[in-house]
Amino acid sequence: MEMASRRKNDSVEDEKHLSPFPDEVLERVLVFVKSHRDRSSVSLVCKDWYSAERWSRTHVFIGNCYSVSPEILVRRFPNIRSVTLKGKPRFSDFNLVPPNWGADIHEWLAVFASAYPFLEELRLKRMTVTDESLEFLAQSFPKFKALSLVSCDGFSTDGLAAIATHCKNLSNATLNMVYSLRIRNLTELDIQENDMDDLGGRWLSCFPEKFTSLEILNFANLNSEVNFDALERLVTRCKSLKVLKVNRNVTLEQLSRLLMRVPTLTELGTGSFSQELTLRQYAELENAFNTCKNLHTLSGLWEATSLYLAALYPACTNLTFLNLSYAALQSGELAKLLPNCPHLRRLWVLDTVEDNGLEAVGLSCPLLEELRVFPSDPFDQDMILGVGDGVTESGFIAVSRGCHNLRYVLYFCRQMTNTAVATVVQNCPDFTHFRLCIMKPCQPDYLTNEPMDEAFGSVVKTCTKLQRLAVSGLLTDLTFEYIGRYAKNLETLSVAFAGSSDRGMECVLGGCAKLRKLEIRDCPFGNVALLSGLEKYESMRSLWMSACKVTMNGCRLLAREMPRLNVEVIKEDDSDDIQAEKVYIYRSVAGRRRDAPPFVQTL
Amino acid sequence: MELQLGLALPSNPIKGFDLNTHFYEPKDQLVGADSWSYGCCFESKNNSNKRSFEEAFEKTRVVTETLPLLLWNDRSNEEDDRKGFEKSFSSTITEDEGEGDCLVGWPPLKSWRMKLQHQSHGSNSMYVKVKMEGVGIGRKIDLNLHRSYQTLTVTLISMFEKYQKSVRGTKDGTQYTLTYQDREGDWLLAGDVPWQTFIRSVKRLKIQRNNG
Repeated sequence: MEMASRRKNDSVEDEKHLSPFPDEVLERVLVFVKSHRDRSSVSLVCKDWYSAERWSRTHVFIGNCYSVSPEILVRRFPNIRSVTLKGKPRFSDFNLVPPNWGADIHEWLAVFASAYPFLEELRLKRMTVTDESLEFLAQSFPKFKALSLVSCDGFSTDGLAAIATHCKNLSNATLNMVYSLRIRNLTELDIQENDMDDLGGRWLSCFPEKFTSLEILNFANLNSEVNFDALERLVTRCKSLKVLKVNRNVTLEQLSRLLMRVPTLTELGTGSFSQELTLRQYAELENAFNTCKNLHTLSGLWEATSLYLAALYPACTNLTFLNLSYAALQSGELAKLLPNCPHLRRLWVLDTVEDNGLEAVGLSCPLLEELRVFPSDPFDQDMILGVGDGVTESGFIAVSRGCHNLRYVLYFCRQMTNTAVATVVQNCPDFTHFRLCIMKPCQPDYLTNEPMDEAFGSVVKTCTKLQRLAVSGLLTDLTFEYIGRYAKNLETLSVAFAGSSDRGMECVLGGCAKLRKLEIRDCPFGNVALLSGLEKYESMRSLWMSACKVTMNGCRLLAREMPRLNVEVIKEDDSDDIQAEKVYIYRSVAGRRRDAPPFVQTL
Repeated sequence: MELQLGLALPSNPIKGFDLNTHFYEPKDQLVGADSWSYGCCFESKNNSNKRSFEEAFEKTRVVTETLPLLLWNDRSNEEDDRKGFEKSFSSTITEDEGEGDCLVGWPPLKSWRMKLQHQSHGSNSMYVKVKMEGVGIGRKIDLNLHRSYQTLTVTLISMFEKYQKSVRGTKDGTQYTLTYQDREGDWLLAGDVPWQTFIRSVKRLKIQRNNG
């Protein structure tokens, strides 16, 4: 591995060598330190270590793109090969952030083009990426290998075509370029019909015939049709393909054909799983899945019906992650499928499986560590007495009885009780991520009619390793007192429609020493609460507050007292000048944003 | 007292009736009794006992305040009992979301997940939930058993007749409207579109009181 030349100039003046090794040795050792938090710790030991660390770092993770500027980044780290960047606040996923807010990748790419010409990997989350940026990326980095875009917006398949096309211009020796192209969870993918063929999958055809290095291809959330022939040819010639996740436009029959070409797949995302198949076609499908003995991840299964699910069973033997969240399965179907997956660790389902389905999970998946239950009908938030719709507290308890290794849960439901949650965490005390969403805001324990304070109290008291918590239901300040008192490892907290007074937020800010991300909406927390965290926000990544009771004056005061924080207020049309409807506060060494749109006011 | 549930008559397109004004600008409802004859109206046998406007307005106002919090069940009565509980959240509701049922960005699901349509497959039944305003308990009805609005309304009447007396604040002469929520989350009047179109897009039903 090459390092840009440096050594001579650096520590010549500094005679105090705390480290007994020469720098070269230290750097060789540091190569093995991968975690960015460990690297941060290393850099704080002394000047020598800071220097060695910055020269030896090849991957950088930036959790908030506005916390630092590209110029500052490249000045500190000269040898970066891989960048991970996150942009917009998480609540932008739920349309709480207006469009054109920012987090555009382009200024970063422009700086990287000169500072990191050998950049290999770029992983972006919630960033705006235009086609121009993608084209620029394709042209500027000859060694570029891996592109991952998660929850990004602003580009079209034309941009993807640019990435795929660029391989064409390379000589034979450097054709092993783009090995990973993964696009997930797009918002607003705008498919422009102009230069595309009718199928709209032109970008896939842009991979040249000699291109064989693809290992990961994931376009599951792209809505456009792709040219199946081009896909089949691509898959056939890329012998190292490990991950293939197609979109819903790929039929079962087409899937069979693809699977026969890639027996080495470890991750598969099927296309649509409902098609009228002849007996012969069904046999082919079964055959195809029979060859997939190496699968550890399975997803897709759009519109899966019980008719064809059985074809899957032979491919499930080694599955550790099963994502059924696009398939409206019933409890019986799930109950039949699960025993074929004895090694399952992660399971995502729709609440169509109901409590009975979750009972089957409890019985069949003893190794389960993660469960996510999504609502099949999110607009329907009402609980109907006696008509258990979706999943209830019973299903939650049933899972916890059988799956003692649960660490991560995301659970959307319409009814819950304090006792049930207490039982769940008693059965599963090792939760690190607990996200419970009782879908109707401010809903109490439906049996006792009390707030859900004790539920979350039991979570934080019992689950000492808890890192992430999302609360819901009717909650008073007591919930937050509990959180502040017991959740000592909490890093991320999401709150909506909860709390009774400023005290709630104060307790959290005062008690949760490791808190990094706090996002709040529709809570009665005002300036007193906001300002109680004055000293704390610099140790956090960010704070989001919307539809709370903070005012512009409160925000101004905060901004004045804490100059190293960016206090941004998003002003939408009809808001007055007193209330601060949406506030986003984050620490930054880069000062205020240079690219803030007119509706974002930095105080 | 007999409960009758009327639907929009195709020959009388409803102009300007929209659920927003029904709940947010009740003043506009101060029109004569005739306004309710063009569809979706209950006519009770005792027409003369219509509630006064103020009464209706008061009720509507109360409902408006609680609407953003989706308090459709009986627990809305007990709001006041919750000690010191401030129910004055200034939530981010967009008014054009029908009757305020839909909060922006709630539940917290990524937009593409919200848009996923999950077809319930296999069965020949098509159950949708039905709620009646003021009644805490809802019901489910299999729309596949019906071929027209007429049979649907007959069934709904028989299902909900018994609740009419227990509905909070009801007096004789209360009229009701049948509404439904479509796949996009919008609330519409039942009866406007042909039955087949209705069946394809309906997700749930609500029987709402007319206040006028």
